[in-house]
Amino acid sequence: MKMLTKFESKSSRAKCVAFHPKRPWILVSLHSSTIQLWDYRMGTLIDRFEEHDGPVRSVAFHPTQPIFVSGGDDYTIKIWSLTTRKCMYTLNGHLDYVRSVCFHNELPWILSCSDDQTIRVWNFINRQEICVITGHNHYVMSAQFHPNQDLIVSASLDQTVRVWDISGLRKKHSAPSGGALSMSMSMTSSINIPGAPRSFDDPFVIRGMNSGVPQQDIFGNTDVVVKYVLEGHDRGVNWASFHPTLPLIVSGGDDRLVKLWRMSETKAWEVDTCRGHTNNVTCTLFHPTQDLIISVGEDKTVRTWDLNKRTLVKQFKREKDRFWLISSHPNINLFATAHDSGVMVFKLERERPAHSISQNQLYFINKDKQVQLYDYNRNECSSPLLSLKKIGKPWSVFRTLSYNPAERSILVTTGFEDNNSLYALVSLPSSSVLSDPSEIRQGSGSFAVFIARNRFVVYNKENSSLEVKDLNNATTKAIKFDDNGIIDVVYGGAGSVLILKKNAVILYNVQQKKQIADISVNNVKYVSWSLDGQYLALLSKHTITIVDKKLQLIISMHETIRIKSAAWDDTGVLLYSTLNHIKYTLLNGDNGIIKTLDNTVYITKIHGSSCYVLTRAGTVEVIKIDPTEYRFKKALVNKNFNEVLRIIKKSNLVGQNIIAYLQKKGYPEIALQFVEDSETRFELAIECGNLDIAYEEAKKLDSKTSWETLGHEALQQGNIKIVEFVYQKLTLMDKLSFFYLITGDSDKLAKMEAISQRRQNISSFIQNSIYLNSSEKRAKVFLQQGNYALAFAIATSNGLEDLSQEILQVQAAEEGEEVISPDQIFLPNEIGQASILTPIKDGTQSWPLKQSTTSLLEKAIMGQMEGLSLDEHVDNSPATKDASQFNDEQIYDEEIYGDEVAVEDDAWGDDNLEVSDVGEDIDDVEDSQAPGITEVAQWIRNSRCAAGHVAAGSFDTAAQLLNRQLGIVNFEPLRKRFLEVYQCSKLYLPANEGLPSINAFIRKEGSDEKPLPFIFGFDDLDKKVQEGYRLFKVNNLKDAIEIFREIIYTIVVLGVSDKEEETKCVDILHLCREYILGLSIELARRSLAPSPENVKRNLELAAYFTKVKLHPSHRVNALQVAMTQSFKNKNFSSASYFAGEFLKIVRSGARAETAKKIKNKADQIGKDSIEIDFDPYTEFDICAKSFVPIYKGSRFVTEALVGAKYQTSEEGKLCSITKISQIGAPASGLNLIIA
Amino acid sequence: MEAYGDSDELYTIRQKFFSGQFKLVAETSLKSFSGSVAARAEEYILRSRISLGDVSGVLNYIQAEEQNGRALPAGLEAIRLYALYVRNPSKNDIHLKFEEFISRHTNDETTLVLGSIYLVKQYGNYEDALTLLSKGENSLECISVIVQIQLLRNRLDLAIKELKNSRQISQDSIIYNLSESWANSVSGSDDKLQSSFYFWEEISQSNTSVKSLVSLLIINLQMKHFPESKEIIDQIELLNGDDLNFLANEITYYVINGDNKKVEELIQRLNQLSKGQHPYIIDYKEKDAMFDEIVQKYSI
Repeated sequence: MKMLTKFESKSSRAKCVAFHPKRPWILVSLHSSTIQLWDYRMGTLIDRFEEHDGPVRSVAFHPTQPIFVSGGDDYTIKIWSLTTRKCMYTLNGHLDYVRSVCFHNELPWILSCSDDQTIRVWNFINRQEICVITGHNHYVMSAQFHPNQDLIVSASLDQTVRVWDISGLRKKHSAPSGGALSMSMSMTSSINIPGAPRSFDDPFVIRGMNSGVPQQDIFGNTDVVVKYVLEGHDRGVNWASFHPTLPLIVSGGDDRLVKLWRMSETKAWEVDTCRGHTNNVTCTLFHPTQDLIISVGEDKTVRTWDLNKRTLVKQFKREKDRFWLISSHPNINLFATAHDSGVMVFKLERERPAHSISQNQLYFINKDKQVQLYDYNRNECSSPLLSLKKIGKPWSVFRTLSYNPAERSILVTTGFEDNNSLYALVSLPSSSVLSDPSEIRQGSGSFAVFIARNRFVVYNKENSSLEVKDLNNATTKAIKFDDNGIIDVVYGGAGSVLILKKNAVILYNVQQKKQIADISVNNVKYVSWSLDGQYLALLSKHTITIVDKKLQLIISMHETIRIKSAAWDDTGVLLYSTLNHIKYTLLNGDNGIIKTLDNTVYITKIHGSSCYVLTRAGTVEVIKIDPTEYRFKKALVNKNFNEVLRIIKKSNLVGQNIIAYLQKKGYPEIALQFVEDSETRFELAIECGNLDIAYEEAKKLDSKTSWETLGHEALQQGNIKIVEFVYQKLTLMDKLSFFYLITGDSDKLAKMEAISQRRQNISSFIQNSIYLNSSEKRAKVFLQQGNYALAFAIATSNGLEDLSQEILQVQAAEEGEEVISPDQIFLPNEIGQASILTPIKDGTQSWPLKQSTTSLLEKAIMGQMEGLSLDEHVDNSPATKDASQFNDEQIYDEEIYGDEVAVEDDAWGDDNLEVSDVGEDIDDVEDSQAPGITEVAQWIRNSRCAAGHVAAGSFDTAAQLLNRQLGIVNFEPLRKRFLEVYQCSKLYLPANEGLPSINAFIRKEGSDEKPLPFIFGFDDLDKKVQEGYRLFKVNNLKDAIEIFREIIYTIVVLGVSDKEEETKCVDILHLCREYILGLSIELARRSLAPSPENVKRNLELAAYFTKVKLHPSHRVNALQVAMTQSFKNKNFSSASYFAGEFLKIVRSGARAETAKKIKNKADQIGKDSIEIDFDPYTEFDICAKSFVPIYKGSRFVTEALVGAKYQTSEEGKLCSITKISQIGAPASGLNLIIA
Repeated sequence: MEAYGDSDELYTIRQKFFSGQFKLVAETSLKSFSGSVAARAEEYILRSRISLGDVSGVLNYIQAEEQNGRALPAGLEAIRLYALYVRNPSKNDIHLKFEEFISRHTNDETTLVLGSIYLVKQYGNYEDALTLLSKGENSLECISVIVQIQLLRNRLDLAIKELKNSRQISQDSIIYNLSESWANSVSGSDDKLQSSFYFWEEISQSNTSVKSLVSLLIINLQMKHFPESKEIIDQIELLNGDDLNFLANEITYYVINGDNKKVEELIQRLNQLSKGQHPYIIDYKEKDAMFDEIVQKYSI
């Protein structure tokens, strides 16, 4: 028996530990008030629960629901939800420490016990205490429900163990009427009814309960009666547990004893005592499946006892930690203990059945230590053949089994864990009736394995030697071999063994006494040979290393979940199992999950789609798997396109997964076979240069970009038909002309010329005429256009005498004088026939520039490959069969021992498999100790807008950007915004005293990958605009202008995520511009001295104010001002207009009435007395400085930030709207998108 | 070096020390500790007093102990030298003494920690400090300082590596969790912040101190939980609104909140209280001056 530790946590003193029934979780309650939730498989702390005050002594999962319960020294019981990870509610009632809590298996009950000497039962659905059990007269240390009977067992410091009958309680609470009755009684009256549900906050009731009155309901029935009082412990009893199936109880106490008790229907008595603990026994329980008692104590030991003999089987001691509790997993063979510095999860023995495969048979040892045989061909399991119970110690399991088909004998090892390991050689009986071995040849030694028909190897620890023995168990050879962390010795091919050491695997030829090869890998525990003997997989806890038969590394891969077993399939794919998956890997490292497992299994063999496994229960199961995916990938890797094609045709592999895989691996042409979506097909076709398919798909897609892509690819490949088609399709006239030129297609070129003439595209026409060498036409065109000089030059240089004369005449007629004389035009002395070079070769054929290759697969598809058969691949071809028998035949056919036979070096042939290089993980590159890049430096690198630079503190570059983008020259007003954007993301994290605080930063949301600063302001823009409106409304115009300007400054230094937000900012900038402009105009108007000479200007400004694009409700104010001012100053026509505009917005109410009156009166006169520079019916902008109209067509300059317009005279001055930007400065435009 | 289980007697005092409850630590009575543990507790107490500014008190205490004929353990001597250094950082002979002492006592955790802090403070020499700290095998305190130094050097990757390598030593020690939370804060990714948030929320509730609350505030700000940040600020104001690190972070909150008046007031207060020496103020002044140059550079 060995304690195999699966998980350990380090913490303060743990008082209790509980297993989740399904998931790999444990709850640990600590003396320090914390409850931890661990994943013991991954070794991670999932959560912590911190609501108890003081030590938490007990914790338990509900067997089915996602809740758990805890109890502690704060007298409370808490119910927690695993879903929300929060405490749902607290049960109050106990008056002292709560010692243990647990759930009932089926009823909604919680059982608790406490130092207040009571045991209580609670209903966790209606959160009521339903029963208080009194009787113990000291602290009650533990209380447990019986797994299937209406019993409770409790242990107390009053030195007794008590068994309680709760059938009355169950009856009462499962009978709805009775329950309802007593419920209503308690609700309606304040009579103390013992045992009936009560509200918790009734102290009277609690007092009543403690008085020791027998618990009776109103009908005189007692809910709970004490059935047995077990006396025998001399000191307080700490724990008592029921046996899961037998009428047994085990208890442990401060008298350092573990006692076993038996119950009958009527009485209970002490059976025996287990002595050995040297300090208080804190907890004890029965092994759920084996005849064992397990106990823990303050003597820092875990002890296992034989239930039948009551003798110690094994003890496990810890250096420093006292044990407080042990619990067993409800379904799996796992235990957990809580001790002074944490918890540990362990199992007490291996669950991997020892087994061996020979030819098509599997020999294994089942749970009852019997040898069984499974035939893979017939899918049949034999009945047990041989019992091995007599070999080794009763509680030791067999670790390995080696089978010798020649002698039909087996070699088993056991007891390795106990350091008194043993091997035994026995023959299998010929009959199929279970029997004991006829003759056992055994000896001490570990790692026994057959290496030949008549030889086996044993490692003898005492004299550190590998001993070769014959079948009579006589040593024929002993080889000294240092026991330097040897983990195992396994079969290594004929005459050889593989020695698995802590940090290496050595292939050792026993016969030659020679080390053949070695490889350094850590902690290899198991080895699996491929069926052809070429490869072997070395399995460590988390690593699979595949090597060839000379131990040359092929690939090494890491698994986060523990690897349990592996086997090779017929085609050389390795399948392996982890705790919860069956997975595969190819020799190039491509791997994937085949199936998820509920229970851990050990793969023994793969045949087709059958995966033969051994379960922990010691049975063989066949798991159906789908090998298509890995076969496909393997065929692909081996470029076995027949197979690839066959799989494509015969199975439905299609999925994003496989397409992505193919694309990644560089097989677009194969991926093409799977895809139907046009876009993807097009892309894949371009990628593999398949123009025909690309052309087909482009026609379906018919988008500009796809045509362009196609055209480019076609040009590269020189497929001129497609190129021509694409150019026509995209009406790329210039390209098309040149295309016809280089392909020498003069007919079509002539057509192009005609087309360009028809389209009156002169330059295109001239280009075509040059290509076509039609100088006469060209000269005529120049003539028509009045470009006589060029026309003449062309005519002359091409020897068209008549034409040149004609040109001279036309020119003379048109322009009178200034006739070009021939000598005014300088022409080369020798004028020959100028012509353009034409392609020599006939270009109508395609001339490929880029070779598009046809892959083997495409050939296969096109049927160009000979002997291609799409028939189902025969799985059991003779070759495979031979290979699969390598294990046995090769060894046993040859008489290796006795004669000195040279060992074949390369008997298995050369390894020509394509294997990718295995690169070491190089994570040292980043490891140099130099200081790193600051966060703000990353911001600068990642941000594209000025705000990012400001936030990073790089004011300089930010200013440069703003200057270039927006023409900002006056930075002073931006000081506040710069500093606040810089400040708003900086934090100072205090850490170790004495050292500078760590700089922490507030980041922009969702910028984990590329860090960017958080910049505030965008969310507040609307609020600020509203504030501006408010100030406008209350006629506080100066402040309103300030607010709008502040908004502008905010936006100038702002980073937004997308175009939408940027557009919004731009809109707000324009809005600010209009309001600032309007309000400035109005302020200017108000500041005019009320003198006659200002009347005109007053009216103009009032009128301009109405032209500014304000919110309608605000424009009303402007209109009202303009209306009243105009009316007052007898500009009736204008007044009428403004009143009309006013009434468009305000249709009713007192103000509308006034406006109507004004309009009526004004209309009667209908004339302006003062002429002003304002035409309501023409569009004009207003110069933001001088407030004069800029009519359409007149020149103006703009400013880049808000787009304010100015008279040209203002160029170069500071914008009066923004106060920061320069009017007319060159600017590339606003950019607010930060990344 | 010592084990860090939280079952031992030092658990509470360590919890308090590292969560920044220096006053409570300083007030702890040594009588409640036994034997070897007492020496360690004494160190925490003295270091807390230094953090509280009671340097002379610490020096007097150590001197008195010595005069009573007590052979000073290395940790205590290191504290004395460190206190002397803090009292007068420019004194040459203390530098020599301290450096000599450090080189002789590399097996004492407190010496390594204070020594490395001294190296950083005096010379700004992170590399030497790291070399020194690497001598502390399995020392969580050393690891914690290493993590901070790596973060100060902008080597988050190395900080994380350090944490990963030492995860085995103790998952649930406050020292480890603290260091991890710093790295989380600097890494800035959402899930990391979330896990730090839980940690700080728990610490600041169970071991409330300005320091732990400031850390919680920082996490909240990083997660942009602004209303919650305000609640924490109010809570800190009740304890000690003049804590310099608190002020520095509080400013950031009010900047984001757009409360210009408050920001100005806080900057002034921080400037005054730190005599212009807080990194925030130094940085702020530098940036302000930088802006002056920009205003100068661009003008019509």
